[in-house]
Parts: sequence; structure tokens; C-alpha cells
Amino acid sequence: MATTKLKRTSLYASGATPINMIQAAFYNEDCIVYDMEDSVPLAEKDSARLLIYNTVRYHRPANKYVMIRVNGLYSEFIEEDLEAAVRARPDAIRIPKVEYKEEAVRICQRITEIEKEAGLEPGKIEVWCNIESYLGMINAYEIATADPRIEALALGAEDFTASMKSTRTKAGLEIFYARNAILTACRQAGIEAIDAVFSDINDPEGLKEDTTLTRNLGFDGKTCVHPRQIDIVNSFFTPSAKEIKYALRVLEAVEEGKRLKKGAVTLDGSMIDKPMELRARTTLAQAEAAGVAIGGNLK
Amino acid sequence: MDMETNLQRRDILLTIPREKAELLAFLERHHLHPEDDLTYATALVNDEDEIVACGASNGRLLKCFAVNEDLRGCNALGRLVNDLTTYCMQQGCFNPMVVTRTHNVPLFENCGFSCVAQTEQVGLLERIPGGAARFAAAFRQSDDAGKIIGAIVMNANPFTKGHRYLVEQAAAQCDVLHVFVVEEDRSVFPFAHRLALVEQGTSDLANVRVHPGGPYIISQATFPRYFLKETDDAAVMQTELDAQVFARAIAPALNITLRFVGTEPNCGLTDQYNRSMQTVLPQYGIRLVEIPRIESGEQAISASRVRALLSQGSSPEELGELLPPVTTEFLRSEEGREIIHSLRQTK
Amino acid sequence: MIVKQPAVAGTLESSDIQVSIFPNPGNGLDIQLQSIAKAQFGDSILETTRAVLAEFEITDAVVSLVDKGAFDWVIRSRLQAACCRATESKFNWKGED
Repeated sequence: MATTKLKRTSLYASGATPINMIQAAFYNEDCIVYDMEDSVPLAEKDSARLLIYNTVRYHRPANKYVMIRVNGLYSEFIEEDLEAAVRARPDAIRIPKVEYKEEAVRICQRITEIEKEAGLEPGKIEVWCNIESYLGMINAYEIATADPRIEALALGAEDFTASMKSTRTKAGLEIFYARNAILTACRQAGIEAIDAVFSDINDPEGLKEDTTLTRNLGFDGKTCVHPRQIDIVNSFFTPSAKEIKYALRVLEAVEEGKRLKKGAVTLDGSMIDKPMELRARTTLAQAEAAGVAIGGNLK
Repeated sequence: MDMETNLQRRDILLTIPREKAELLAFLERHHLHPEDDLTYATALVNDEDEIVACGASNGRLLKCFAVNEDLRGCNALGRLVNDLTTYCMQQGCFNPMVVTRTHNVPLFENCGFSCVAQTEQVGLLERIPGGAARFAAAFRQSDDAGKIIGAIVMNANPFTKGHRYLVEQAAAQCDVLHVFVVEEDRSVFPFAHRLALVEQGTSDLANVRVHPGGPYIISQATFPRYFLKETDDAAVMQTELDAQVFARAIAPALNITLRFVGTEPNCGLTDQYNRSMQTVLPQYGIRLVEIPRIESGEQAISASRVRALLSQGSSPEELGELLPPVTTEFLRSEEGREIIHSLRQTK
Repeated sequence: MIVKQPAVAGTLESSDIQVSIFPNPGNGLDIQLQSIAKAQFGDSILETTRAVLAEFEITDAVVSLVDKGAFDWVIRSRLQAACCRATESKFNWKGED
């Protein structure tokens, strides 16, 4: 299973092309998503399923969180996709276009049944739900809490904006509310929130701006459409040395305050409040997960 | 994930004049002139949506391949062949073929096609390895060993007394005679009728076996011309390839050592056909036997003469000199009358 | 199982293999391999091919393999897909539990 808990970047690899699947393992994304859905033509669903099954079960890339995106809940492929995907033993199964709690419940139950049939440890495979419509967004909290398997919600902006009759723009004002709604649901459910893709693979500056927003809003990661986006996105979710140093000083001051039983703790002349402490802990958790040497001794 | 060559597949919808014109213009730049029997075409396009490679098919043959120079080595041909093969299979043709210049044969072999036969100039490839030999082997019988085996290929459009005479003469010279009827529906008389007439018209000859010609007879109609240059002699290329396919793939599977043809002093193409046979077959231990045509009214009996007379208004009964009873009878049937009618319409 | 219809799986792209299976009733297995690495991997490709055909109990078929440098598990996947299509059967997912 995955040796990293980081989910900064997800990269899709089409189950229709072996070269794509093989190469995708050599980039720096945290999560690799073998896709049975949109990138696979209808006539190749069966062959993609077999290719993904054999790859994940017998040749999964090391040091990656491995996911399989199955076809839609109401497609003719979903049942066999699940049979194959569960038996392939990925870290997670990613479900497209989830709109209702009941859908998530049903899929999770079916996964449990197949796990039992196949003699696998029940509950081990996590589930990510893609939220790709206004309905999914409205029901995000219910979906997020539908089953303990559910590990993350991921915003799919192209389909979402289509459902809203909005125009997808680089600035992304049309998905600003959805980003916040999904993030809020995830925080309350205690699961990860994954932001939508930035589609223009030839605009690194645009990607940086968009990812700045992703991070500032509080997302845990972002889906990438192209390998060249991965390192940029990763960098935004990996705290800088300056940030780590500051976080360490904040927590040191807090600890010092506790030892001295101080009511209010100050650092560099400013008071340290609860949110600052929380942010500092997040920064260090991110750094630790990304393998950055922290140099402190704090939990 | 390929970063450098971001080529997208785009089918060329031949029913949309603008798209077809785009395809033709691209082929023109590659000095190719497509036939009008294309039913499907597909292309690879660049970021600007311009065609950079294309291929097409009529459902049985893959053709009209053109790939821009700067794409060589990007497996563009493989992607096109893939899509076109899939198309043919969806159309029910599981063994699509390619006719191409001989120097391009290895390119198609790299795409999963097997060479059936080739001449100095052109080669025929097929998708099922050994398909030709397997096709022919189906006509073998367990007691064929040691026998003298001959073959005739005929279009029989329609079956005449000339054909009957040729079969009789040939059958007398061998133990088993395979008669292959050209299988394509561009003739006036549909294949099913032509085959039936030959079968019925020779059923009294015990050692004659009549078969459909399958896709292995390279006729004028099946030979693609899109890649020909003005200096090429299409008739020579086509007939030599046909002779090679027969000698290399069909004859060995059936132990055929004699090939019979009728002489045709009046038809340049048939003459070329016979000359190509004479050049190729002996190299493979097959003897070409030319049998003079029988005449009626000082003219050789031929199917083209029959068609001409029918279209000029002759009735089937008036052609009794030229036609065996089975053919006369067929021409009197409703289907026969329809064919005569259409002959007269298109005159 | 009987090969009911011709079937193809895989592409001619790099790292893939195109597997075509055709009926060959009563005439056994006729496997034709073309590979960019035939000298090095030809035997292992044929071994995988025979193994998968045996798993599907296919005894009569013409099999054409055009290998573009595929890894073993890709070859296996393409063979399985082609066999399922040719025999008009579904893959037995429980088979490897």
C-alpha cells in the first residue's frame, strides 16, 4: 500500500494506453489515478479494465497512492469495473459524478461485498468521490459522511460549470462558491478536499496563480491534467524553509507559554491565537508528509 | 502523455464537402489521387487542426495513406492502420488488405500485416497471417495427393459457351480442376448469380470444383490506383501481382501445377494478363496452358460480346449460339430480365 | 472455449502489443509473432501467449501478435481482452482470488 499520506497532486493515466500508464509512474505526483472512465473509448472499456487490473494488482508503482477511477454509477460498466478495481487492491477507488449520499453508500456497500468475496480485509480500500455538479455540491457534506471509507471529495470543474450553465474561466470566479462549499463539507467531515484542475497545460503562470488560490482556500491537493503541472503544484503544498521555521517558532512559543502557565502568548511582539497555532501545525504536518526535514522535535 | 507530438485523431466525414476537399487537398500535396470508392477516412491533426497524416478505406482495402515528412518515426502510420483496421472489422471484413509499393511493405508489416506476395513494384498484405493459404486449403480434399491439379480463374459475366469450353478442355487435362469465380460486385451480373451459373453449367463434370475467388484475385476493380504515377503501367502491376498471389499463396496450398487461360487476341488487358502469368508462374513450377477460344460466326465467344448483344436488344433465345442452357434460362427469369433491362439502360 | 469470432485487442503504439485472434476450427494453434525485440523476448512472449490461451482453454486459433515493446503484464492484459472478445465471454474476476 501507499508509503506516503500526501495527496498534493493527482495525475490521471488513461487505461486505454499502456505507455501513458507506464510513464505516469515516473513523475512526482503523490497520487496516480488509473482511469477507466472519460479517457477510455466505449469500445475499449473491457481492455482498459484488464490493463488496469493487471497493472495495479501485480505491478503497482511504489511510493504512490494508487487510485482507480471507475465508470459512472449508472453506466453499464460500473459493476464489472468494481469487480476488477476492488480485486486490483488499490489505495482508493475514485467515483465520478457523485450527487447523492445514497449513491456513495451503495458503492461502498458493493465494495465491501466484493472485498469479502475476494477474501480481502474489509474497509481497507478508500473511496474518493468526484463532485461534478451543483447537486453534488449541495449534498457534499452528506456524501462526505456517507461511509467511513470516504477519504476525499474532489471538485470536477468542467462538468460542474456545465451543470451550472457557467463559463469556465482561468480566474475561476464561477467555481469559487463550489470550492468553498466542498471545502467546508470536507473540513466538517474531517476528510481531504481536492481542488479542480487548471486546464491550460501551456500556462505555468496561470497555474501558479490558480494553485495559490487552491492553497490559500485550504485545499489539501489538486488534480493535474499534465505531468508538467506536477512539480509546480507540489511546490505550493510543500512549506518553504521560512514557513517551517516560523511554524516551529510559533509552536515553541506556545509550549513555552504552557510551561510558564501564561494566559496569552506573544511572539515577535504579536499575540499568538488559536488559529495561528492550528496553521503552524498544518504547515509542519505538510512538511513532514512531503519529507522535508523539519529540524524540530514537535508533534 | 506524449509531450512533443500532440496529434489528435480526427475522422474525415466524407459526406461533408468541406472535409472531403480538405482530405483531397492533403492527398494532392502528397501526389496521391484517391479512387471514388472510399467509405471511411481518418486523419491525425496538429494543434491547429491541420491534417498531418491520413488514411482511408473502402471497407476491405486500407488505402490513401499519406504522412507528412516531419512525422516519420512517430508511428503515425500505426495509429491510422489501427483505426482503419477497426473500421473494416466493424464493417464485417476481418481480413482487410493493403496494396502498396514494394518498398513500403515493411512499414505495413510493422503494423501487423503479413505480406501475401509482392512483385518488384507492388505488394499485397493481409491482416490474418497465412490467410491466403488457409483460404485455399479449405478446398483441399483428403484424396488429392498425387493427382494432377489445375486451376482456372474466371469472371463469368455471364457464363458463356466459351467458358464452358475452356473448363471442358482444362478438365480433360487434369485429375482435379479448381474453378475460381471472381468475387466482386462490380460486374453487371452479381457474384452470387455468376457463381451459381458456373456451378450449374459445369455440374456434369465430376472433377471440377467451383469456388468463390475470395479476396485473393487482384482484379482491375480491386487494384488500387491512388499511388500510381503517370509513368506506371497499372495493367502490368495489377496482373503481375495477381499472378504472384496465385503462385505464392493459392497454388501451393492446393498443389496446383497447371493454370489454364483462354486466348484473347482482341482484348489488350486479357493479353497482358496472360503475359504476366507466363512470366511469373513458371518460376514457381506452374505451367500456363493457353486454350484457344471457340468461335461463333468467326468471332470468339466472350462475355463482353454477350453483354454487348444483350444491350443492343438481342433476346436470350437469339444468343443460343453463345450461351449454355443454364445462362439462357437465367436470363429468362425475372432477375435475368432485370439485368438485361439495366444493361440496356446504361448503354 | 471456442473462438466464435475474430477479435483484436491492443494498439500499435509504443509499449503496447496488438493481439488478433481468428477462428481456426480443427487446426490447432497457429501463433505468429512479430516483435521489435523478438530475439530477446520472443520466447517469453510466446510463453505468456500459450499460458493465457490455456487459461481460456482455447485450442484452435490463429493468433497474430505485433509487439511494440510491451511489458509482460501488458501482453497478458491484451491477450485476456482478445480472448474474452473472441470467445464472447466475460473475464472471470474471481479466478485469481
